[in-house]
Amino acid sequence: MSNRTIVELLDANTYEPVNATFIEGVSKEELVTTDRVWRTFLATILKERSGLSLNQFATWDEYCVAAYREIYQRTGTVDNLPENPHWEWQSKLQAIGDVGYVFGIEYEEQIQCLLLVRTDRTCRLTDKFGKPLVYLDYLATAPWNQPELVSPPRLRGCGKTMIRAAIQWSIDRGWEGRIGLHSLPSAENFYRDKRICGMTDLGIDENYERLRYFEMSATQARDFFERSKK
Amino acid sequence: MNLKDNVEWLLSFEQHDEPLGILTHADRRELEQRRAMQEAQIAVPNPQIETANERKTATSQEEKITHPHEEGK
Repeated sequence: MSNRTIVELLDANTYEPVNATFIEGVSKEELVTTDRVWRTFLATILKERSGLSLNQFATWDEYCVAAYREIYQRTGTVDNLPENPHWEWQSKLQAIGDVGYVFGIEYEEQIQCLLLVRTDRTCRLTDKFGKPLVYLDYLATAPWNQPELVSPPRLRGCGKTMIRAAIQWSIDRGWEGRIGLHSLPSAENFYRDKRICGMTDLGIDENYERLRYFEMSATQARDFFERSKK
Repeated sequence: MNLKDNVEWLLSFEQHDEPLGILTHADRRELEQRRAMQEAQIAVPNPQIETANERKTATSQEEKITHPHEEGK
């Protein structure tokens, strides 16, 4: 079942509002199309930076490994490239099964951002330990919305809007806005900073590739959700 | 889904904004792939003299390291 509503985002060039479509329940067909479109766009960038073409390789994954290696050898870094070029959204949703749900933001007939959440995880915060929360499993913006890839990007605000949507979804389910996630090191400050997400840092998770685990309580969710009213 | 006044809400962040690209998550497999990919990059001493066959072989080996099966996740 898919529900669609209008959501405003920011044009990254003009900072003018644009009307996008928020999709609750992105379809399998849309995920397959998005994988293809995002990869096609990223392949153009990788070709520019590496000199290698996708059609030189048997698979997308082989191409990414070779192109990333070539770019690393040319520039000394791959930090400004996506960490998730091999993600296949349709496969990920299928692997999670009934507890998985995908949100999307569509603009100009293209998916701009995807968030895969799951509902089978529970709180680690002491006062709500064991209570259900919305766990953010995968979150990615389209390559043309990533400032490290495209300057300026097309839209701003996709990722934050997705977090807001996850909180709202948690509220709608009666879970008071509770969400949880494991953060990559580069994103820790974003989630921890009280001026931004203000989530509780529950430390390194030894059982999850030593990533820091963050949770947002009901109070923190309210603060995050209503920040523009302050 | 109530996402009203989203632009006003987004603009409230601008003072402390960070690139949207950091908003990614990874599970164990994703990180292992990333690290293996970086290690493979560092391990190649001189790609300019690599022959096509050597490159193909190296890529195949990396595939075993960097792209394990999806199952078991």
